[in-house]
Amino acid sequence: MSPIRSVISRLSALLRRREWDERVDEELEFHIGMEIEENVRRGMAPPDARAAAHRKIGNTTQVCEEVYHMNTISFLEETAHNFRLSFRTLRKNPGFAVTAVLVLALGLGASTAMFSALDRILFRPLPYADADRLVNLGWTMAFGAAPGQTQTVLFHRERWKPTPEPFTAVTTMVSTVDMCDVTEQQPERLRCARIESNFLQTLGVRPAVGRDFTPEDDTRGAPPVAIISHDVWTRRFLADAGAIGRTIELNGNPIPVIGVLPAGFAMPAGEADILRPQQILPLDPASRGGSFFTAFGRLKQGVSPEQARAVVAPIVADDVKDLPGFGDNAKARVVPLRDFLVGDAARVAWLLLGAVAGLLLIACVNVANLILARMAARTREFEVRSALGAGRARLARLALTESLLLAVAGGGLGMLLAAAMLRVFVQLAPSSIPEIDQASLDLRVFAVAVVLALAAGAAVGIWPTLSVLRSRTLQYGARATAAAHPRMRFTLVTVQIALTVAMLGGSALLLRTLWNLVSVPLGYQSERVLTMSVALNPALYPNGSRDPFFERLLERVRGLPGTAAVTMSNGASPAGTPAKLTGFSLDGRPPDSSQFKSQLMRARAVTPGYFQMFGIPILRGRAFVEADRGTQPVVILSESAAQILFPGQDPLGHTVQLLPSMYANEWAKPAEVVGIARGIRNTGPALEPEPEIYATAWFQNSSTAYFAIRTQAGTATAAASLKQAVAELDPVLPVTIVPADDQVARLTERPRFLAWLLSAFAGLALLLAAAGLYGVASYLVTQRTRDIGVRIALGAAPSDISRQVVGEAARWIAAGAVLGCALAWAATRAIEAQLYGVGSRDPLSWIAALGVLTVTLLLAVLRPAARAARVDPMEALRAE
Amino acid sequence: MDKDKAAILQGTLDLLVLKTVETLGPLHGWAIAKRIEQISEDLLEMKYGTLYPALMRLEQSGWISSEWGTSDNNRRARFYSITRQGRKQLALEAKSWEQMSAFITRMLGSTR
Repeated sequence: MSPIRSVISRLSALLRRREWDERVDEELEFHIGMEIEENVRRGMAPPDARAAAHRKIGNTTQVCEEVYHMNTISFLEETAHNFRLSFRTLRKNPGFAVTAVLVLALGLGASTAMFSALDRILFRPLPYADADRLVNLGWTMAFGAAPGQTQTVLFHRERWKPTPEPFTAVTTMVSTVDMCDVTEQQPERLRCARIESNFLQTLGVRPAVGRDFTPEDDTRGAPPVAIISHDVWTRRFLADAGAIGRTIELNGNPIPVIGVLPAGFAMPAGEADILRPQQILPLDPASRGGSFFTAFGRLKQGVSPEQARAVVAPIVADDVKDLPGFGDNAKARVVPLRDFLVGDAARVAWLLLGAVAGLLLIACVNVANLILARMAARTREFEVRSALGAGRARLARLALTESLLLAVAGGGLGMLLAAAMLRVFVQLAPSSIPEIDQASLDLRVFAVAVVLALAAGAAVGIWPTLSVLRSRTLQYGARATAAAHPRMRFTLVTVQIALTVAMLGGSALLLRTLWNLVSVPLGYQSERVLTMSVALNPALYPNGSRDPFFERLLERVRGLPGTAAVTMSNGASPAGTPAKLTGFSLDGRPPDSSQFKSQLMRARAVTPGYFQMFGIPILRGRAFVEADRGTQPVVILSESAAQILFPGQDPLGHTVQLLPSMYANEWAKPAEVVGIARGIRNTGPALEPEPEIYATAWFQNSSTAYFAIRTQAGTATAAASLKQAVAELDPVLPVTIVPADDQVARLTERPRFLAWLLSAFAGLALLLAAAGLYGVASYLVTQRTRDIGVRIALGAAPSDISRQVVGEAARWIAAGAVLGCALAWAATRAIEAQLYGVGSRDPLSWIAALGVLTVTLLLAVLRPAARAARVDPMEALRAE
Repeated sequence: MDKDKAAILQGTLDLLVLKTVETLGPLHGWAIAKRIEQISEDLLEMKYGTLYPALMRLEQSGWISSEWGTSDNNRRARFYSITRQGRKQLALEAKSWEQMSAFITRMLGSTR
């Protein structure tokens, strides 16, 4: 019989066991009946006939048992029995069971929540076919990008045809995702990306309904078509397949819908609700330069991104050679898609995952310790079981079952905890961790939680199991069992302390980082200032109509009751990034392209009153006045901008002009420097101020305006009246209103999040370590009651006794601390990138961590030590 | 237990049962027991109880099948008959038994 059939037939026999048991009874009865009948026929007296029949058939009970066992899978049987038994024992010890389950639930819940939060960044497959072979490619500027971000853009798409050798396909999307307004019923603002016709195909994605773009759709001048996201399809078309061929009115033009993206699709860069063909080829001969694209490629099997980079480099060099000043500063770049998407968030993710794994480990160790303590107390029970014939392996399995039961219960409770914790994580998480808001407890997370729980059960159970397997007591009935455990228990406590030290140290470093960051003077004040941003859709507000709109809005806001001051800027104030520009013509001299890199600076258009609004001091010269608007353009430089543009000179009175060839009329007029402003921390507290150049005249063509309002009204009232003011001009225009303080707080949100989370973990770890040490010390004192009694009887002072207990604990704390420091030392690289103003080996942080640890743990052993000192020698000796 | 009587060899009971059921067609348990006893001419000591686990094992393996019927003396009884698979199995076991016994005979002959 094949093994599979054999298993099936055994299982079916197991399920029909009662039937078989009944059958064997019937058969035996029949047999005996026949035998008696025959014996009688041969002439025996009925009683003798019955006795002979029974003799002949043998032991019927044994036969029944044989059939019973035949239909049994003994392993399953025993496991079920073990579970019932474990359940009963645990129910009898609710204190122990509840503690163990809670501790495990805490560890498992935190790990599950963290896994679910970070899964999308680290592990979950990207929603593209064969995503391993997808790369982001193009070039990145050596300057200009904020740390951790790199831009990859391409000029001259046609230079990439035919597809270069290491790729099976190259595709692009226009880098900026435009806003587009739905202008039919239920107006809303959507995001429209423009892609090449082979974009979805390259990613390995097909529309769920309808068709993909064709090269004809993507030809300049072709009739417009759109592919809509699954979400828009459900929301606006009620998921009707008949949506294909209908239109959606975008920016006033009805566009036919030809396809629907699959649910769960996400763009590899930016976010989009609508995809449109970019329709730029063949190139318009009248257009100079090109457009910025984000490019993706699919590598041929077995080609590494590095190999591809070597091929891409010359194309890139050719791509940028006629761009002034860009040549040497552009570097070819080919990175795996996941790295491109996740960026430096991966480092934070691993740090968090490490911390939560530490917490889980500590929880497991703690429960293992609890179980060991209980095993010692249950020695007698195990001896009895052993005497009744339970083999050692059987006992070990029993011990393991108990741990698994605890872990399963802990895992179940952990899932509930995880759901709650996940909500907190997502609330607190910095926006720089991508996709965290999409985290949810789905089947995948559930599967991981189950695996974690089982692993925890095994990790917890291995110790008591080992202790049963090793113990000699069960054989000899000696009193030595208890002595076998302490070493194991102390090892576990040491491991726990070591992990706790590492986590405490890490959180101390992060707390110091946070402290350093919030205490850096930013150079501006943002209290009681509201910011409002209004973005106009260029398709609905063409060039020339936006500036008047913003001016009208500015006047309206100024006229609102309670407004003390209002200013307008083209970048979020004061720390947001407006356009960055480079290439200035100074005092009429032609721009020096070798200086382009160093001259890159933020160019901020502001209305007068900006410096006063944010309390930015003007060091020399003057601030802007109303008269500066519209007449002769003037600029104000930040300190560092002044130094870069006019080293060693007084910049006042000199003129600055943007590259005349690259910018339109108004922007390019020479502007006189009228003041020097103090630099502000405009890229966050951790970084030196970026040079900034302020002007009153550079609003042109900006589609978004940022208002800063100081008002006497409360935030809610002010926000309502601001929204009202915007709605009077355009009833469907979206508005974002945030206190400027919140914008400032966002600069420190990542360190804040990390410090908060790691401190919470470290606190829990410390609590668990203290509980663990307390348990071991108490246990130790109980074990040694007799010795202590003898020593006290021999004249030892109670203080000597407690000192000895504390001393012993101190040795273990020290061992754990040393181990922990070594561990942390080895792992400093993980945290280094997240620190500011403090080294990863900052002595103060580590001393603080060790101090907190030592004090807490010594407090934990005080009670057992005191108990030891109070041992009554008479009672101790009598107890034996 | 009678010393002259051989205890039934482990694993051979299956072979005996299969052979009996094959040659005599559908039989109930008691009849199978009697037949084995009769053929062995009392050489074999067998507790008949052990027959029933063997029957059930064979049925679970699919080598024999059973159904209710009525015995000669009008009792309800389970009648066992061999299946196609059972025949194959019997042929197989009989062959290996022959080889085994031939080997053992040779072994005993050579060492004597």
